Amino acid sequence: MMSPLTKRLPRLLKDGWAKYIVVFMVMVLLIGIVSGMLVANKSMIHALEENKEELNQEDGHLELAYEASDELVEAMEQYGIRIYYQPYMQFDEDNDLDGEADGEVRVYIVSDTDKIASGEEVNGIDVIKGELPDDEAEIAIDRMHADNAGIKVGDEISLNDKLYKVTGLIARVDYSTLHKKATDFMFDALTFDVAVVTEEEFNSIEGKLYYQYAWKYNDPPQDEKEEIKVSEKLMGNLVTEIERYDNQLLDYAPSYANGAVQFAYDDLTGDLTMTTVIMIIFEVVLAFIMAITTSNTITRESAVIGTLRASGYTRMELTIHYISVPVMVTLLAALVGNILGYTCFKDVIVGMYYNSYSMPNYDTIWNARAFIESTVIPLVVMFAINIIIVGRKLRLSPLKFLRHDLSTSKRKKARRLPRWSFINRFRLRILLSNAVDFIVLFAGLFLCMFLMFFTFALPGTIDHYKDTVVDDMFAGYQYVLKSPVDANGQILETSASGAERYAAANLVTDMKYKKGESIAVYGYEEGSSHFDLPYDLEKDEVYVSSAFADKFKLKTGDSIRLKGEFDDSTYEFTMKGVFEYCGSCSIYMPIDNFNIIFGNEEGYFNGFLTDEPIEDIDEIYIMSSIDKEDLVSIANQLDHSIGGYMRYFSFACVAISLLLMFLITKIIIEKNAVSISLVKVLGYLPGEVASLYIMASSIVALFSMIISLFLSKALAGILFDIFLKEYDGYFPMYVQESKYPLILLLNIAAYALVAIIDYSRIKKIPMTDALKNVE
Amino acid sequence: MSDDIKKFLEISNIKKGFGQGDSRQEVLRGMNFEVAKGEFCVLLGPSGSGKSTLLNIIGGIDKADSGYIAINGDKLEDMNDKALTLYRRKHLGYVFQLYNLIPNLNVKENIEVGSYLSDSPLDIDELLNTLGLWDHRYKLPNQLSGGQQQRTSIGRAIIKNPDILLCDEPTGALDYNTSKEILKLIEDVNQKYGNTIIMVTHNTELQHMADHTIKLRDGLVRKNIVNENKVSVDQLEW
Repeated sequence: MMSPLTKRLPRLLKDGWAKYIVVFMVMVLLIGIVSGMLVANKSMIHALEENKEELNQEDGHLELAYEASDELVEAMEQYGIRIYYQPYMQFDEDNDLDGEADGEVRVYIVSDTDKIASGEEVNGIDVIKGELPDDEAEIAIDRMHADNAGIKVGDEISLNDKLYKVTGLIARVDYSTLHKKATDFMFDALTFDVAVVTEEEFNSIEGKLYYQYAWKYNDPPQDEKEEIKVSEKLMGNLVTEIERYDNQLLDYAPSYANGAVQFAYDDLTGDLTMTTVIMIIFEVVLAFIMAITTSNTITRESAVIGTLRASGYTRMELTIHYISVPVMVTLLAALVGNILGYTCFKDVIVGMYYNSYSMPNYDTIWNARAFIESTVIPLVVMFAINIIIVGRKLRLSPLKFLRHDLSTSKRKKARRLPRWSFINRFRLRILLSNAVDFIVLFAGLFLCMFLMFFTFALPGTIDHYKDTVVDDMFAGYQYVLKSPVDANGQILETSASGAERYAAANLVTDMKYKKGESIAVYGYEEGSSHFDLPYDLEKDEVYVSSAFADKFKLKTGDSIRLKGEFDDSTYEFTMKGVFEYCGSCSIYMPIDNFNIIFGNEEGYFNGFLTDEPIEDIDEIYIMSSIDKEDLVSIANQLDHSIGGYMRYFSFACVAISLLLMFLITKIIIEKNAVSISLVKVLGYLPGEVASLYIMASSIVALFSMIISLFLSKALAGILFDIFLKEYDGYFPMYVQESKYPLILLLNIAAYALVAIIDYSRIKKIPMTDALKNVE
Repeated sequence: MSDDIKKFLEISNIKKGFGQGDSRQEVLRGMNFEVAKGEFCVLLGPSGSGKSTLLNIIGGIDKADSGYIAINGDKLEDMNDKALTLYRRKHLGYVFQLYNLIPNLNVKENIEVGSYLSDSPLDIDELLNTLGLWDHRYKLPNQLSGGQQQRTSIGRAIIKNPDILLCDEPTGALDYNTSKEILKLIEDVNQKYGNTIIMVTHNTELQHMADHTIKLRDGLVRKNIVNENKVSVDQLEW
């Protein structure tokens, strides 16, 4: 027979409807977001993995200085790989046809669907909208870049002074993010594009050809660990073969290290854990709030409980009765949250991914993990915390309940307080006797403020990076040459203003903090106007960019171990000082030392730093150039991908902190309703009552906010460093000083609203509450 | 006793009912009596006679449907919420059957809750000694016996030396000996500080310790007795 107490459940729900509605809303929001995110993630990951197979995604690619001969291809293939030639050209893209370049586009030959299916070609294409080009002057471009640039199917864009009709918007399987270089920290879908044209069209275009070769393993490695091992060994073998055939390796990018392939996948899988952990912490806070509410109900109904226990009801029957409402609310929230998660929240999250990544088409798939993490875990958390707290509370004897004596404290006397004024001691007593509620309030506020801190820190960091990287630039333009001499053996010269030779090389770290991080090594000329650094350095002495020093926590005198990017050569330097440059992790030395260390001839250089663009050196001698726009493109992309959402997230955080404060202060006021009623009866004015009970909460809320802000800053800094450690490059987390008071003010404003509601609650507590025999 | 003195507290034709329609119950049906300053007045009656309701109306925490209550000529009915609060603050002390102490304040602090409301409170340490609570002053209410809690409640009420002390069944939850102790304390307070005391009880024996007894039944004053031969509580037995 069902317990007659069950009939009370709707009434319990009705009595505490305001609390339950708030908890329900927060839970629906949390569960919906997590469910939506997990479902979207899983669906996206599934689409990526499915595409990887169906579109025959490369296992890696390399780029050579010259076209590989058949012999070289054959030589490379003897190391257990199959080589696929996939040349590309790179042009300025003018997408609004105003004659000015809006970005760069990398053009490949359109792949053949049949050949992709049969394995004769790699890196197939998913057509998101429109169709693939099949005629001259037709082009299909990356969907995400098209969205960012406002290009639609049927529009025309100009490449290399030729008009092309956009026939389709695509996602190439090897470009799930638009990374210009495999090792770039961030993709750039604003000013970088990937496109395909027909083979005939490709061959007819005049432009510099890049000799890129993709490879697939004949016997694919089983996991990433094995893949790293295999690819490292492969690189050594390929370098030997490439040198043997008088070619030069310019780029080597196994898939696991290729941002364009791996970034979106890593980010999709990375999001899951963080989001779930945050949701579980919020669930714990909410479960505590519910448990405290139930605990207060038990205190209020102690005589009834004593009577029921004395009549023969077991502790378990009553425990189940009292935890039923929280569990029911959670169950309902999970149901509604999941429905929203699979529909509108999923669409929002998918929209966010499409806004950042060049994702293929996807199908929504059932996600068992989403069910467990968004439904089972919240239920278990709610059930476990409530059964522990409520179970403990109900462990007292029936007599104690009948006597309203629910104290479990063994203290003989009250805690002694400092000799403050009576009112302040009264407030302190309120604080102490509601300590559990205030701890939960602190935990909730800390979570909200920590998340909110990130919403300000991310755009702030991006803006700061944009400002400082431009200020720190060595020169307006930085050119890397293929070689210091032209085809006739003449040393390349330029008359561009501020032109100055320099030498550069790439090494990777071999240090305890991190191995394999790409480090740019610069050699500067004596009396350099771009590097304000001394020239009389010992051979092993180097200056270190501030980004490198900050990321690796380096100080003057520290030893820096580096090794060759593609070989086993090792280098050991001593840090002489810091060179203020936040754009990359790099080291600086006199060019003479540079040439000795790298075995170059005296006077060797491979680049120019200038104040204006070089126009008197043929483009074929230039390997790459960097200007202000290139440096800020990372920041612009980040800003575009996440900047807009951060404002919404910060308001969501304020809303959640407001709801949490509303809940906790409501619980505290309800718990103290009889005392509040009593002091009213005794003649305390409403303002005095509020100053006792609201002031106590206000002090805790304000201190929680201030402490949370400092803790958030420290914790966010640590997490940011851990996050950045995984990637090449560094920019420190930065929050404008004006944002700290803003974060505080937003939360204080939320609290002020809660305090107004609390004041009204206190005013509404009837004085007759104090006169009733407490029941 | 002159009329002015007698009219320190005037209850005039007080009516009060609860509920609506068929379920409406008239608890007070037109009560009239007066209490003199410094008088120890007992409101005596069985359950449902309306004595607690009347006490709440005198205390300004409930309103009569009609009639008026005046203290020193000031009618409670003319007072707004703030004025009523200030009336309670200035003139009243409350002692409840279940003590109603603030659970998170110790004994001394609970008494300070009362002293905070007064411009010239009694000396708290002296009062703690008088109440026999000195050794318990740092204990929380749940660490006290019922009698100690009631003494604390009385301390909280009288520390501001109120004109009127309202006691609602102050011994209702106590055993015989403790009840006598508490009543003795109330009697001493009345004598020492001269407060007007209105005590609700259903114990008929207590009418003998009062200056003035109002017997209530079914919402009406049945008897209004001035006790010329009152005795000390020490001499009472029940």
